[in-house]
Amino acid sequence: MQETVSRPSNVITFGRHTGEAVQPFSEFSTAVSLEANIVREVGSILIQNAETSHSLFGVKASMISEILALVDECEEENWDGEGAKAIDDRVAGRAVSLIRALPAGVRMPEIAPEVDGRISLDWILTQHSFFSISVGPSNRLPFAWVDGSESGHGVARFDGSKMPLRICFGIQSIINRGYTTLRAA
Amino acid sequence: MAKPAALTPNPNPEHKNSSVFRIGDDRPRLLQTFRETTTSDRSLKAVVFFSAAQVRATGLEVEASEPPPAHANIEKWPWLDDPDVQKARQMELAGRIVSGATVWRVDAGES
Repeated sequence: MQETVSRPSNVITFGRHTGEAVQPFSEFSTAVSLEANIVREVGSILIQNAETSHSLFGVKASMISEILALVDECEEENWDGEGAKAIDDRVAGRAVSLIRALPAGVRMPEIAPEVDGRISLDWILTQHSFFSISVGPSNRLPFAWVDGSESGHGVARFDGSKMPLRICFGIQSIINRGYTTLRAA
Repeated sequence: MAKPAALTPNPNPEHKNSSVFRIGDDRPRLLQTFRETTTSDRSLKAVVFFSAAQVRATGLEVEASEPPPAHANIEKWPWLDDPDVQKARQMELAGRIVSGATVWRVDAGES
């Protein structure tokens, strides 16, 4: 638990330091030599990359904070007054790992507690089109999707660092369908 | 929209179902029912409306379970040997029900 709390701020701090270290190379545009121009361009690229990863991880850090807040809210048995199981640190850790493993560019899910002590991650495009994962203490991830009149479910294995392909495809197919609809409109 | 997790059943052997009320869109009565029946100090955040027909279309059943008045349970959820496959199947069924549901966000004052 302690580790998951400290990680986000560590990474943000790292991103900021990276920016400071390369900032002088990019801001100064008075150099005239070819080498200076190359250094300047490389500096700009480094800053751009640092800012991109900072903003990407900023979104993930915010999502991880939401998960930790949810766990705080549901850390005791019977949090719903109807016998719900507490969400424990193993489940929280798995959910955080899953968020970290999301490929760049995939939007963040909505989260919800489940009465059996799991955390639900939902990618909702519309009321009739969404993809849900249920994160529990094991390395197996039940998932289900609804897309109009079609629906399905499955279980994928998550090693803690690499997002299962079946889940990646599932999320992307729901989200990309939304893009296609928007582009056609 | 509502999330499937709002409807997936409580796996506690005493329950193995989802608890609902057959009240319809009568908001004052819904709020009163919540106040009278809740055993938690959590506030009511949202109410999901769906018909019994939507539940039955998935192969599940809505069965009266009073008291309290108008209380019912969604029954006949799949219980399988593999708990993860069982969970995935339950999520799909819950997802199909919520895809036809409407939501009243009580905490946001939405109507």
